[in-house]
Amino acid sequence: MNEGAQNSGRLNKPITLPIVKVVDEAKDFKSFYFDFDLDAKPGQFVTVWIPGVNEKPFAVSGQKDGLFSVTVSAVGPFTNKMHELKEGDKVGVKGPYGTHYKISGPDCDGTGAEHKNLVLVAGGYGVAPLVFLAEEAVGKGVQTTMIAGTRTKELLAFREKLESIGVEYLAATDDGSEGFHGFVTDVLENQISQGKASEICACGPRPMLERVGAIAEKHNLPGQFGLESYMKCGFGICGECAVDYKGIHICKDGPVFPLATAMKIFRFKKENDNFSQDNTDDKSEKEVF
Amino acid sequence: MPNLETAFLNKTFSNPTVLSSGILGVYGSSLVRVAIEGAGAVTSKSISLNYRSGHPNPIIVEFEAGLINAVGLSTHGIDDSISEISYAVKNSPSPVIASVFADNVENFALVSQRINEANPDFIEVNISCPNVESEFGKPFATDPKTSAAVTSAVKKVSKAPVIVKLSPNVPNIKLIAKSVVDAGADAICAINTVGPGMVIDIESAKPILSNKVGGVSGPAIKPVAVRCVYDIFSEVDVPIIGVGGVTNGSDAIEMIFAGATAVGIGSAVHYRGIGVFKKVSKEIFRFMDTHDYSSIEEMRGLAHE
Ligand SMILES: Cc1cc2nc3c(=O)[nH]c(=O)nc-3n(C[C@H](O)[C@H](O)[C@H](O)COP(=O)(O)OP(=O)(O)OC[C@H]3O[C@@H](n4cnc5c(N)ncnc54)[C@H](O)[C@@H]3O)c2cc1C
Ligand SMILES: Cc1cc2nc3c(=O)[nH]c(=O)nc-3n(C[C@H](O)[C@H](O)[C@H](O)COP(=O)(O)O)c2cc1C
Ligand code: FES
Repeated sequence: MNEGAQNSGRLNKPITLPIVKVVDEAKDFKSFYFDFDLDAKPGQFVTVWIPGVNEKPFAVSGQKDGLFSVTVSAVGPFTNKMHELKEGDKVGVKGPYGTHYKISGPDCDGTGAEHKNLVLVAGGYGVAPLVFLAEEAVGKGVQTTMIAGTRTKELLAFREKLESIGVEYLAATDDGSEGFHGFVTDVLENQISQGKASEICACGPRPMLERVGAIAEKHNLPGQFGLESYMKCGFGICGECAVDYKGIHICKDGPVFPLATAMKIFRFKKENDNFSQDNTDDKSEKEVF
Repeated sequence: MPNLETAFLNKTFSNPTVLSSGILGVYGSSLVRVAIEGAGAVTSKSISLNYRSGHPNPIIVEFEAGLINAVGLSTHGIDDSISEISYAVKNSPSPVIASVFADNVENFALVSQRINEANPDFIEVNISCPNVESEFGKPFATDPKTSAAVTSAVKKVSKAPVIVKLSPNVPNIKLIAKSVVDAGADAICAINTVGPGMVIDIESAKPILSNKVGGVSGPAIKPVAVRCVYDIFSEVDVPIIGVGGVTNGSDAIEMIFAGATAVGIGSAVHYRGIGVFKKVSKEIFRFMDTHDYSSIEEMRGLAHE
């Protein structure tokens, strides 16, 4: 109906849905399934409303056979409350919102170049949207590797699910309790040096994204980055989720940005900015929003 | 060739569209972006002296003909707000209006005094926020005496011209308009949201907004806004920013015919994206072109003749 509505023509008003399945993915990390044809793309998010509590954004972690899921890490009041919910309990859902990861198969840029080594880099609950993306990429015949990083073994999730569809799963833990002892970025460097990375999609804490971005730039690899910010409305009205670089709103212009835009957001320093000058840069940037 | 330039007090807007307070106006960078995307002027979210956390989510819900919001005055505290406004003033190609709010007359003066540091082009006094009634009692805008007291207190300290933003939720808006103009208001902005209203989720049998009630905006309130602007124009002789339900060029023209000098746009940012200012400007231009109007000035208040 209009440029502003990304909500599949539905009103920005929660739709009440019962939880049809709850799955423990890891310690304090649960998936909630809903029987609803959401029509989301990997990287997009929904908001979940628990009446009387709050409403918060969560990435869609899967979508199949008329069901979709979100996978929630219990970190505070809302997410703890959510972890108490059981099959049959109802919540309000809005969305899907925001931009998404774009994967177009082995010859995605039409140049005949083989983009067959997609590397997904996940930090913490950032794995949620990337599981959905992995399923889509595999469906398009793209060879996919997931590098998942957490503090410790019990927090790692989705290994079986991903391996069963043919995704190579590489873990990195801070304490070395499973997989590589260290950062996802070390594993990523290793994949790149073996020639096993042609494109990077990442989601996780900002410091991780910044390091992954720097690596992608150094090796001249294309990348897409899922960012987060504090959100209120979730659909581009309140202005709470803005980042300083060009007044980009994460909820609507993001959360997924191409490497170049993500790096500009990371590097932006308000003090030495001259907005008008900055605004005269390359045209390709314009297409982002 | 129609000219969209709009003289507003001591400034000239490149076109009559103005970003309304509370829509995307929390950060300076957003204000600058909206200005670059075509708004003739931009208004910040209402700023208050103290940090207020606002209400939990949901704070905005859409209904068939508009939005209902109870964002509350979730500002980031005066120091942060001043730096955001300063950033906007330095970088925005269009004039910047700083909106202020306080819980009593004295604090209105204090917050306005502080805002001088940011050098905004105008200060807009929000005496009409409907979302804080339960905390602060009735909005100031429902009483002509308090409205006047706030206005003169701000006028005394503000370096920038003072716009007073009125509530439609009063029996006689002319009375309020007259009292604030007599107290020194340089311009009026009308209207803030209508209501409050409520949307109930019939599955959970609960109001959707965490605050239960919220201010109604968008297409549903346009006829109320047009009537208010019409009434104010007939009563006082200061420029008016007409706000409420403006989504396209025809709506803007209606406001101008009612007596608006400039036209505020809020909820329509949701319906048509940030590009709405450019789009509405183009639509106004097209109307003027086909109806042989050459200036905004010439159309103002025509509905009164
Ligand atoms: C686009 C988007 C997608 C998201 N997807 C997921 C997801 O798939 N799974 C998931 O578990 N969580 C996701 N989140 C984060 C989730 O919304 C927050 O964890 C949740 O709001 C926390 O609420 P709470 O009341 O439980 O905890 P709070 O008390 O609000 O937060 C607990 C801690 O987490 C921090 N925090 C809260 N929100 C954020 C945030 N947005 N970014 C960074 N730190 C934050 C707080 O500073 C605090 O330290 C997403 C956020 C966004 C913006
Ligand atoms: C989400 C939201 C937040 C708002 N916040 C403020 C505010 O902080 N100060 C204010 O004066 N008006 C505020 N308003 C009112 C608008 O500025 C405007 O007066 C009203 O929405 C009517 O215009 P519209 O129909 O174009 O949205 C807010 C409106 C909305 C929708
Ligand atoms: S969260 Fe409100 S604009 Fe993004």
